[in-house]
Amino acid sequence: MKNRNWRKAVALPLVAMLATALTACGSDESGGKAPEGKTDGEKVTLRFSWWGSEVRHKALLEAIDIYTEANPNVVIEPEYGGFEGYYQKLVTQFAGGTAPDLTPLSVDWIDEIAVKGDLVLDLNTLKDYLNLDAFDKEFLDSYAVYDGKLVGLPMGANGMITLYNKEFFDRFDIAHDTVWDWETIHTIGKQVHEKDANAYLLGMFDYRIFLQPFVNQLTGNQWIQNDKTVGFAEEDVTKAFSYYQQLIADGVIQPVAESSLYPDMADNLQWQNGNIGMMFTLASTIAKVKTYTPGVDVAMFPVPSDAKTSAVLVNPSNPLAINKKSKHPEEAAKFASWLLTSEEASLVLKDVFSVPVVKANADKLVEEGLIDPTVAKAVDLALSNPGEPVNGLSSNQELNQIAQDILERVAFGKVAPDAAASELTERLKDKLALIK
Amino acid sequence: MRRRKLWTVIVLSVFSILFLYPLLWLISSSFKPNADIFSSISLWPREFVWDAYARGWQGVGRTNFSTFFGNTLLLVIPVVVLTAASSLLVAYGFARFKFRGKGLLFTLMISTLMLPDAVIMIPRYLLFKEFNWLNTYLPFYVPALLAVNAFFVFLLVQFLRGIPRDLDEAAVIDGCNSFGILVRVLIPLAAPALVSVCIFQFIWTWNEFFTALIYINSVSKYTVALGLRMVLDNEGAVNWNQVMAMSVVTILPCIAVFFMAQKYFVEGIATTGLKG
Amino acid sequence: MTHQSAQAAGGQTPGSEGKRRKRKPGSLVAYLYISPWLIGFIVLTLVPFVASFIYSFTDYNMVRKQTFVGLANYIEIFTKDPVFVQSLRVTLLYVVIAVPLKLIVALLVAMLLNVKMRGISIYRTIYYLPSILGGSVAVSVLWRFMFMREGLVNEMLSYFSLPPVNWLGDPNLALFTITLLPVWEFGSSMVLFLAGLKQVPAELYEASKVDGASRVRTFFSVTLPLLTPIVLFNLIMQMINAFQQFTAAFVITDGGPMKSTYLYGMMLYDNAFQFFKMGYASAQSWILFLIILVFTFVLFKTSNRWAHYEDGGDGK
Repeated sequence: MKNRNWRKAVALPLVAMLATALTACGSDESGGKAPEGKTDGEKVTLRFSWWGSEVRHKALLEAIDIYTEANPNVVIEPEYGGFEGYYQKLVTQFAGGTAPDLTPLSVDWIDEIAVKGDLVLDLNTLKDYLNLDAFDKEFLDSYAVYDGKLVGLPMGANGMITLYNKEFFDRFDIAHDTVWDWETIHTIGKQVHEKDANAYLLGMFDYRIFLQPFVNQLTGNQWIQNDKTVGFAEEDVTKAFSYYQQLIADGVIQPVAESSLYPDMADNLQWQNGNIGMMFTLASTIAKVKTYTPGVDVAMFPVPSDAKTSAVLVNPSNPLAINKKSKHPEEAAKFASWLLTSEEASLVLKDVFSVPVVKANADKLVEEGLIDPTVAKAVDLALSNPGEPVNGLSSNQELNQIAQDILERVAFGKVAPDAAASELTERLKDKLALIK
Repeated sequence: MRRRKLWTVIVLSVFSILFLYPLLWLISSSFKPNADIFSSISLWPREFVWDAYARGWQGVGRTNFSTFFGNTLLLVIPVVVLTAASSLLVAYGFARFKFRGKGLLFTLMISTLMLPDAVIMIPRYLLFKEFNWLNTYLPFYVPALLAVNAFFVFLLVQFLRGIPRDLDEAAVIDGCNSFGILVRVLIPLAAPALVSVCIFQFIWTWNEFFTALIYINSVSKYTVALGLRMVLDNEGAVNWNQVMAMSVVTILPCIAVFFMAQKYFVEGIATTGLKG
Repeated sequence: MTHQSAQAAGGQTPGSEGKRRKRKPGSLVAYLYISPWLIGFIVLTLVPFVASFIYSFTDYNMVRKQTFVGLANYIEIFTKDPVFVQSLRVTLLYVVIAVPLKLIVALLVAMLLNVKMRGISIYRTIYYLPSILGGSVAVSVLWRFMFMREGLVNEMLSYFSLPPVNWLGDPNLALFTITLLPVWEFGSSMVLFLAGLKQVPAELYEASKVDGASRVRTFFSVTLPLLTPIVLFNLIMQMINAFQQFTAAFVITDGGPMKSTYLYGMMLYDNAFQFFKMGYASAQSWILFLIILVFTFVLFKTSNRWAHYEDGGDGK
């Protein structure tokens, strides 16, 4: 058979293709420096992608139209869809060097994409094209600067709050202005359940709304410190776990075997039916909750009087980042700046990305009644007593999953608080040793 | 015989509620107010909402479901035809011929189904990017043309092997070459299997979300599967009755295709008289 | 898989005795027929496969340049990953329950639906509906509705004065409940059985009737043997799919409660896309590849004894 040559003919292109498949990403010729100036007059096409629901799509499309009308040299190609798969597609595109020029980043992705991956521009390098002065400098420094780089322009301010069902509170004579801490949750929650065996003050706890802030308030440290050590002692987590089991035992929290079906409290049938009183959640979810349960209001996240820090989570709602490989970073920056700082754009976007960070715009929207007052109040509450910004390691999803898994076993009563605490510490240490 | 049929009907009817319920629920949800969809299991809407279909059809912004349907047909029809044709040829090669390396190649083919997609996705994306296929339907057409999905080839191999070889030989005596045998003898006999291939590929491609999501960027090229999910945010408010309404509209063609195709399992070209 | 087993599925052994007279003029024609697949394999499939194999020896995370880490991923999987063990256990259990259950249901329903009768096409469509709806955005919500505490299934149980069951919240039951979703979507296996039943020559039934065989005996002596190629196909494909199952657990329980439904496919997804460990996920994928390969090999091997081919393949 003459397949020697045949093999060679097949093998060569294969090797070439494999090479392209393997040299996936990372830096290459075009990275870093952007081509200078001279874009005036020339047609520039920017790809802008985002995820969201209908109102957000409509608002952004309208904003794009306004901008491109005023800047006829710019064409903006919108690429939008739901949340499902968005992130996988984005990562795949970054791997392939085909990511859009502009994309919002969810806070969970910043560490990998912006910091370790170094895939988006440090916007400080584009400050000539950005109206950074419109933002509160402290907010930007705390929540949008990572590792010295401004990774994106915050599209809105977001924060953790207590969201409660007003009718439920009235039914059980709970004062709307109750200042919550972990103590009052226990006492009031217990009374609620004693009055009505089908009613619970709370749904379910998870790592982000309970374990991390609770321990943070005790220690004042990051969950995982920057030097890759755990920021708590075993007693601290033991306390958190015992408290959680106590709440479950006393009927303050809906039994986990029922609530575990609904990782998102808004979907929980008992919540929708008014049998659960409150939840801890981000301001950005209020719109969704309100579609099922319109009668809600907000209060401050529980902070004990002796807390070392409030641990109230504040984050920028999806900072808008510019791809490092963008061919027109200045034009992208100009558009991003207009979108997030101009009054014109903010009147179109309203609160589709929570409350705008630019104070003047936020005030204007509130004044005109264009923002849901509950959302505005929620963001104000969170920003009035923010905790330390959470560092990258403490938002590492793999580490958080370990905590989440153990927390769940605690909830099911499968493991005692102290045993759980030592297992958690052990496993976090093991993983931290492997993390680069 | 009659008694048997009666029993069949009774058993089938009793259990059919388990299979009909989802569709009925979907339809009823498309007429419910948003807040009621997830809080009541009743199939009868407490209060009727009539405009979910009209508003859902509008889609978001500049594209509506007419575009999505057009795109989906443009994607699905060639894929189904190409898959059936290429898989049949390849299956014929494996089922009826002997050749060097056959065992190895067959093993390789089946094993391409065994590696999870999650880890092939990125290298495949990079490859298709090199071919300049992004934001086109070629990532669907070309694999269909080249019988890349071993599922269909293996399926047809199994069916072809169920057809007695004596029939081929009779055709050879009649002067048929190998392609003639395929067309005149095997295709008619394998019709139910080919119809199955078409049904599956139609429905799967029609509903394919993830591959479409990865390869298609422009909203104007979105398929219905993408269109359906484009308003589903993790945080924002979603008009579920519109999503349900469009889900109903989207699955209707699949139901219709199945309903029309399944008659080939009733009247499938009978093998009567062919068995030697 | 070895050549032997594959040939059992794909036709005769090149040298099998008694069939030499069949040798066609050159195997070139055969290559021509399989050439679409061959080209597709070389151009579209091989490269991603080899790439993922190479990734499995690196710390590839999709957004940074990878470095070669040798066997480190594999060592970590086998020595330091309790989640891997849990997930593998859950997945094996899932495969063992889901695959036979689905095939038995599919075959039974196909037998019922294989009659000539007015209106049968409507029943066929109804029983296929879940397979069409499977990809629907609403399926997770729907499944919760059927199996939650206040759901449809418990309501039905209450008609028979049975106590409600916590189908999805109980860690001991959730996996079973999750299994019902793909079983309920048995449509494609059913369609193939129906198509296979169409290939059973009517004379065989008549012959069997003349012999006075009961229906059950006819099924086992006539129908089932002729369906074995399809049984083998469904068995292998359903097993391969079951090992990679992802949707059922992902959309309904998200792997919980307490990881009791954390299928292998979900673990891969989490490692690859949530934890940015594509290299690690690739290693886990290749381990799964080997596991599936072994199972498939065993099935092909044993099928030599029970699968029956009309084309006079091996064992005839």
